[in-house]
Amino acid sequence: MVSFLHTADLHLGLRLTRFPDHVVKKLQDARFQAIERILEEARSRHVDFVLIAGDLFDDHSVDNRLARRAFEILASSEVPVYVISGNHDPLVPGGIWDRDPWVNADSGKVRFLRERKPVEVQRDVVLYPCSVFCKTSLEDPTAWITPSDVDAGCIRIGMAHGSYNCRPGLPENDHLIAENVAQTRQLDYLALGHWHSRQIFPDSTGITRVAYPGVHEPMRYQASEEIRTGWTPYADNPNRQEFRDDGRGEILHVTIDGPGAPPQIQAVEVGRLRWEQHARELQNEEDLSRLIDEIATDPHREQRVLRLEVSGSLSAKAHSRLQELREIMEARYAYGELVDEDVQLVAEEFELKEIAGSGVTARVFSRLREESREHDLQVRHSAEAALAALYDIAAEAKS
Amino acid sequence: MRLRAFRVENWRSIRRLNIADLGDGVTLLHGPNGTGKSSLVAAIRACLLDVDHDSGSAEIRAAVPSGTNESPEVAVEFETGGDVYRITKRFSPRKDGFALLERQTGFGWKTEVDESKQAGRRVREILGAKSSAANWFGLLWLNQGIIELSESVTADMDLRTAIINTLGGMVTPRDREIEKLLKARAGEYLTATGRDKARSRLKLLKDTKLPEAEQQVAELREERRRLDGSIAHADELRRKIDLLKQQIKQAEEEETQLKKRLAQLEPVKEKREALQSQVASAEEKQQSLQLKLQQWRDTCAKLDEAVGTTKTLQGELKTALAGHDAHQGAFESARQATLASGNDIATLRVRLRELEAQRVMQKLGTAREEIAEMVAERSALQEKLSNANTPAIKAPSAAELKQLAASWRSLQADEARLSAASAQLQIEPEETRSVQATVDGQSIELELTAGTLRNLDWHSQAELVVPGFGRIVLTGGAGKSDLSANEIVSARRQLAARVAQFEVALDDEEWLTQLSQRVFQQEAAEREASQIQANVKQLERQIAAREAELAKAEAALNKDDGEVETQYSPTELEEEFRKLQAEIRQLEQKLDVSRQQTSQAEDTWRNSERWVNNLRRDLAVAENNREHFAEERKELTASWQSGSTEFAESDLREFEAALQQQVAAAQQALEQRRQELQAVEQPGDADALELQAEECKNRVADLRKQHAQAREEFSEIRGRIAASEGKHAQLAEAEHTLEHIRGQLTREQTQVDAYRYLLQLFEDCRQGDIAEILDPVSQLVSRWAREIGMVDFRHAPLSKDFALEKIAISRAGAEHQLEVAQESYGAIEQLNLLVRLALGGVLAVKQPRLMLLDDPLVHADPVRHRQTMQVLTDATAGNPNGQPPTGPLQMMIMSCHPDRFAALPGLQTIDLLSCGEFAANADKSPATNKPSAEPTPLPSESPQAKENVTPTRQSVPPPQHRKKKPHTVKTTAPSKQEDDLASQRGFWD
Repeated sequence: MVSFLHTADLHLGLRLTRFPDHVVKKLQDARFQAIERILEEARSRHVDFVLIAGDLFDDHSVDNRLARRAFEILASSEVPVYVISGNHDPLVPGGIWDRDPWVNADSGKVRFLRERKPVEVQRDVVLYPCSVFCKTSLEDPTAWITPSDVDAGCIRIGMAHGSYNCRPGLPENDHLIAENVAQTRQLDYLALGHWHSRQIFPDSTGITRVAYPGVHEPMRYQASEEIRTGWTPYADNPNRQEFRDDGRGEILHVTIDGPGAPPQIQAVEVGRLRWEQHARELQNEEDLSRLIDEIATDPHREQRVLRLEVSGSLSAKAHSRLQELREIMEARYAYGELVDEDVQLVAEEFELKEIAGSGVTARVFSRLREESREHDLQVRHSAEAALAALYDIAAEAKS
Repeated sequence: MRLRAFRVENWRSIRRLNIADLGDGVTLLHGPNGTGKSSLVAAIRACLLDVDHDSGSAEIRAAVPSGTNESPEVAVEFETGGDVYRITKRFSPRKDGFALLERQTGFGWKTEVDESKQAGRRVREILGAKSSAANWFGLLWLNQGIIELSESVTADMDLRTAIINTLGGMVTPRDREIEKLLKARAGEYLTATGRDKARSRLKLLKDTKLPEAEQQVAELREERRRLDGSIAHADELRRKIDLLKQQIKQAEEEETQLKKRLAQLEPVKEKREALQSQVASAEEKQQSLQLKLQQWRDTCAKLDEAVGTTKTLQGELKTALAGHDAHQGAFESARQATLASGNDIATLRVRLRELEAQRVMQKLGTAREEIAEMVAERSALQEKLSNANTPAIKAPSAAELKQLAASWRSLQADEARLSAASAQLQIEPEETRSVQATVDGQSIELELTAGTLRNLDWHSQAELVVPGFGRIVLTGGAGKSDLSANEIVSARRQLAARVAQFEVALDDEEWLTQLSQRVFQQEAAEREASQIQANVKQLERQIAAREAELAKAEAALNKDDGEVETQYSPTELEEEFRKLQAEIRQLEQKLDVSRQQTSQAEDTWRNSERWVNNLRRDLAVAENNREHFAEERKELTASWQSGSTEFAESDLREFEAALQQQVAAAQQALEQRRQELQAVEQPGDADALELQAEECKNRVADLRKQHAQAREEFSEIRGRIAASEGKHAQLAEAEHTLEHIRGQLTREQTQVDAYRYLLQLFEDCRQGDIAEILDPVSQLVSRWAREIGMVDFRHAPLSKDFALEKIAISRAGAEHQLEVAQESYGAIEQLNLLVRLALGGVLAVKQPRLMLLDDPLVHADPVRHRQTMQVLTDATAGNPNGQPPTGPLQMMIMSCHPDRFAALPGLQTIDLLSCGEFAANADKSPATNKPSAEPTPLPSESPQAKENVTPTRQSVPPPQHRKKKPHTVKTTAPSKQEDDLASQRGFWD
């Protein structure tokens, strides 16, 4: 019997560009914290080892400090940690794996498996590591695995990084791994990395021997089509479904009783943060008040990376409270982004009088309000921008 | 603001001027040109607003009266906001200059501000204008000659604000505050005219930070792209290295195999090599024998051919030699015949020359005779010529004849004229008598015959002395003439004398004809003589020519043959000559034939000789060949049959047969060797194997080289990728910065666009208001325009800066748009005056305003002028209930034509001359301080005047305290009659 944790795509040193500096640091730290949680899980679950199926690093040229930090955390593990390279951190000469301390990670707790050759990780358990040497390749990384009598009676576990060729339309240079590979290569389990959401592939008998664990720490908003982090995968289409995560970080705990036995697979959440994206429509101040309460009192707010898109129309007074909402989100959340461009400011008559008076300003206001209802988007947007500026100035004049 | 009083001293031409109690309505200040009306306006402007008391400006220097050192002093009393103020300024940069502001109270004048600088500032505050060209002053105070609204007026924001505020415009204080804030915010990015500032945060972002960040990202991405390329290449190299390793191993194995097989094949190879060498030598021997046989055969054939040729040539030569001798004989005989013919001809030619000499001799004789004849003829002609030279009759020359004829015709004409000019007296005496008469001064004796009528012609005077009767003097005659009868008579006498020398008489009527004939004859004789002379000359020339010919012929004859005796008569000679010539021609023909034959014979002979020579040469060659080939065969035989060199012909055949046998034997030996070689086992692909082994060796070397290269490249890539450590974070950071800058730029740009748009909207909305609120003013101007006589005037919208740009007029039932600038000078002045009146009225709603017009409406015709007076009256009164509501205007008009404004109701007229003292001839140098040649007398030094010019700061005597009534005020209320009268007279009479 063997029990291990399967994770992949940790993307340490993740390239994040669309956040303020302090948030970037927070998000990067979370990824390391999640690794610590993996090791804790390994300890508490008494697993035999941990598999990291590629893309431990976001790039082969991440800086050495970061590489060392990752190494040190993993080296503190009580059980061996087996690592292969992925398409983001391929095994290239001079790359991360060629540098200290990873260049020497062939003994001790952390083992980087650079060669494609079977490794007996423990008695009767053979690991077939399939490191990746290039960002893209037409080659099936598991192609070298051949069934052999030598391993007869062993639990055979494959570890590879690439796209499981389970559906049409996948790019052919994306390290495609043949379907039914577990069967053809006589593997009890193939621990895959590359895809960012948890995916399991049961065979015709309903037994799952191939799985992607998803990311250990989320790196984009849940199911968001648009990448709002600045991160891009090293694949043809950055918006491919495979690279969308679930907004939460998970790993798989796999237990195999013996050769040929069906693996028991359990998902374990280890992610530090949860990424969420919500849209709300606001019709009046009450709506906004409710939303503010809700946001302010979320018990998990410190673990949330929240993007909140609001739309609708608000009176001038209510509109000014959006700032309150923004401040709450910025102050209390791991990261809070309020998108309120679609909220129209519809001043009440009495407000208008108060803000604009009865002279030229009032006329300017009414012109802008008319224009902000125009169909022409350009006219509308410039009117809205001008209106917002004018409200702001009027508010200042008032004070 | 209204003006109440003013006092001016020592200002240009104004020595002293004191006017008080100005009314609220229209006041006309008049005086002749040069009185100082414009100076007065300038003084008021200077005192109220424009000039500080201590100013040393050119205006003040020019204001000091010429030839004096007096400081100009002006005091103005004005009412505004219910208070009456008085500002007094003495303009001098020296100590005596001061300014003082007082305010009227129930207890008289109280000093409001006594600090001079402060006083001037305070007045400007009270009046709300920095100068008399600013705010409403600029609009309502018009200097002479100003007709249009100047730019300083249209651009004056204070004025605009004042008008818009008065008209109930929509610019509220809050608007102003908001606009101010807006401008302050926009000012960070935009210039006052709405353009992007050259230096702003936005610009910095756009022009510097963004490109920098973009460049950095681009550079890092490029680096990254290159790295990715390197990675892909590294992967290729990795595979390549593996492949090369395999290939090297394979190639090495192959090489070993090949070497093994080659070692096995070595002995067979050696045997084959020996056999191959034997075959080669057999081949050589066989070829050598074959070659010898061929050579032998060739030589024998050539020898046979040479022998045959020699024989043929010898035969031919024999025949040719026989022909050659025959041709030589023929040639000799032909040459002899030709020589004989030549001798005959020579003999005949000697004879011919003799005959020719004879013929010449005969011709010489004939020539001598001809010469003699010609000499005789010449003598005859010379004789004839000498006879002809004797003159026959005396005759004048042709010129003389012409002169004589002319004289004659002149004389005849004179006589005819004389005769025509004379009077005639007819006398028929009863008895014959002789009477003494003097006719034209010539005494004649008249023989009168009784009963016979006698004519007496006279010209100037005729005197008859009739005995017994006395003297009869006839004067005058029938006509007077310039001709003198005496002169004519004398002329006739002279002519007669000239004619007489040619032996003719003048009285003879034919004299001229005779003379003419004589001249003609003489000329004919002369012509004949000259003809003869010409003939003689020709003859002489002919004779000379003949003699020359003769001499030449004689000389020729003598030289050649000496004297030749003639044997024949000429006829015989010619006959003989012809015969001889014919004979010679025959002989010559014969000679030609003979020569031709000789030449042909020679050609034939020469040809045969050449043929013989050729044959001899060919024969020599053939014989030479024969000897050569015989020798060659001999040598060949000797070389093959050692020792014996002599062969009989029959032996030759045997010899050849033996040779053939040798060749056949060699061929057979070759065939045998070849079979032996073939019999040895073929070593198969030994060579190919060797080649393969070599190629394999090279391949291994090449593969090793490639392997080394790949390793090197691989390690190079390793270095490159290793150096990229941390680039990922750098790129992320650079991208982050770029994203950040882009976001910031977008936000700021949106903000700036919003500000720009807002500024524009504010301006637009304000413009909308202005157009709206100015409309009633436009309407009022239009109404007034119609009232002053512009009947087709419909509407003239005022622009936002109150300018009239276009007017609408109605003509022939249709409305037309006209540019104001196209209107006449007068119309433009009038329209702009109406605009000023209307806007002035608007401004006067809150408090009255003073309108100051210096010499207005000078371009208006009488009718227009009179009608404008009504509008002036209305505008002065104001109409608080009108649209727009207008307030009262105080009107002060300066003019030198008081009569033009007499029609204004309630007009206050002030004759400037009666209110003060003015410098004479002031106009001549009004603007300069030059001392005039004749200094202007100072105003009378009365105590009053003295006090006025030197006031103390504490007690400025107010104008109304003067003892003298400061001015005469005449208020007119013109009757209808006066009005009509004015219009009938026309005020510029």
